[in-house]
Amino acid sequence: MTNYKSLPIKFRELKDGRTVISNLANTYHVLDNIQSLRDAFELGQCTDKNLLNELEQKLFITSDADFESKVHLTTSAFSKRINKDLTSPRLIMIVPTLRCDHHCSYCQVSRVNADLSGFDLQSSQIPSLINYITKIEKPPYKIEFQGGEPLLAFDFIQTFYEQFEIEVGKENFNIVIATSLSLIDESIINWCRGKNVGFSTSIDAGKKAHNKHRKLITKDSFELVQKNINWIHHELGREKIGTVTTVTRDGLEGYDELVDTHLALGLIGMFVRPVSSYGFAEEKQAKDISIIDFMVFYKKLISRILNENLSGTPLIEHFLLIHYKRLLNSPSAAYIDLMAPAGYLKNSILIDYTGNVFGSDEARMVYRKYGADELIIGHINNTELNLEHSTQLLAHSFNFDVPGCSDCVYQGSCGSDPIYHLQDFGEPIGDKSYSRFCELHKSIFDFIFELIRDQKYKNVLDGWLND
Amino acid sequence: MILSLSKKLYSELVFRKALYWLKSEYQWTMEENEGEWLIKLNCSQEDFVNCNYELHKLLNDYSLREKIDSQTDDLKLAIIRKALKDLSKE
Ligand code: SF4
Repeated sequence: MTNYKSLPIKFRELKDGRTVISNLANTYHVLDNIQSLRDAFELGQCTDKNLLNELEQKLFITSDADFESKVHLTTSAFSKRINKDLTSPRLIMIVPTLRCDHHCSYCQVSRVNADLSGFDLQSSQIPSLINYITKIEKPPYKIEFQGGEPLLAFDFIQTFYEQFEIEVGKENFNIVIATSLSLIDESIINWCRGKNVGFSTSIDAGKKAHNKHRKLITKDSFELVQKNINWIHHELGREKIGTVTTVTRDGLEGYDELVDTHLALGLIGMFVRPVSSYGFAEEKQAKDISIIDFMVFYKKLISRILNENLSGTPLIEHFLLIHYKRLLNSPSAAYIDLMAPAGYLKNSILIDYTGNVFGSDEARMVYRKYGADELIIGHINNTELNLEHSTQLLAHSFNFDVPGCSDCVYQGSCGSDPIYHLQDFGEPIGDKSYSRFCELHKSIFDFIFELIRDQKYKNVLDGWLND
Repeated sequence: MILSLSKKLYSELVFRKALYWLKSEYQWTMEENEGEWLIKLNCSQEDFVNCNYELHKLLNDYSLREKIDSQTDDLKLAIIRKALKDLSKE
């Protein structure tokens, strides 16, 4: 085919001179250089038959004869992609208490001391809570307890579990407790046996960074989390615990230590991202570590992880994997930050210790800091939702229509974060040229194209897709 | 310092999109006369050279986008409209 028509494309020149192109169907192709792009799409003079065939299959060009069918395929792929982001299941987060035994420098919600009263949901509110959840969401329910430190309100969690199981059936829900694990004890472990309950905990990049930022009076948060991960593995099973890593300036040299810690604990997954500036997280923390700093760290980390995989040690880094899945249009690529329209409200909801309902965890953080009442979308005592403001936020989150994103090659894989931009720019779209959100995700997508140039690394990432 | 660029070379949209992505350390204001866009930069000579280089790179990039998009912009809009209409029926 040498006579062809172009379909709509976006492009981006990578640092090595290659040029990534994408289209509304969210398929990608990497051209050798910008001249190949000009030849194929500006001048219509490409004569490389193999390249033209590939571009045709991926819906970048079409013959006159196939024009209608190719446009139809593009439309349907575009519509499917938006539909997938619209209909992914909703995560329901519950904050049973704002109290916490830690005092972390990047705490985003301004936790309160463990002995204070007035910062807990009451067990008497559980029937309203369950009623609310079952009204707004269909089974199977994905519930996450957050804090503060949820284990300080473990009685509440137990009672909720028992009543929820009666209401919806054991097969219809799954609970994750996001905890530092410092307070886990034998009675908690014993209660969790055989239940749909798992844990998510934090391990930062290296002991020094972890203990510096995750402050306990006893100064042994890092040692405790390791001991208790081992305990959960042994008593409840390896699949019952996952980790999240927050990278700060103090952790920038800790990439090897982070991998070593995970491997020593027998963990086969990790999720690593830079400290964020939401809510009360000390702004200095976020500003201290630029996305450029983070990417230097992250590239070293990923290189170590991929080489571990190549030498037979399985270890998955989920932040990278989720970006890779988004580039491939994988059906299981739901991640609240990478959705357009945004995951806010339609894919997440948070009920805090007052019974107030927010569209995301970040929304409650911004509310706690700035008292932005319009971010409260309801209360568990009343199933009516106040969606006026949230609808506007969502309406601004279709990124094909947003300044900056509308020309971006990663638009179909990236997301939209109206709450982050509301906090940093005072409005939900923001200026993408200053946006940390944009810089972070763009850098990760670029990095993936850099990585998969090497077939052996591509094979590792493809292997992760099956886990 | 002032950077002047002929209006014949770049459309206003290309110009504004290029300025959008110019690094935040370059503080600029934009003015125009009949035939030129005038960018006033508040910076040292060295920064001026870097900014000039960066801006031209961006202008090139957005100018190419404008040329490529001009062949398919209507089609793109039609596809998006049809897809959203289909979604609203579901
Ligand atoms: S946020 Fe940035 S990377 Fe994401 S689509 Fe928009 S411009 Fe592209």
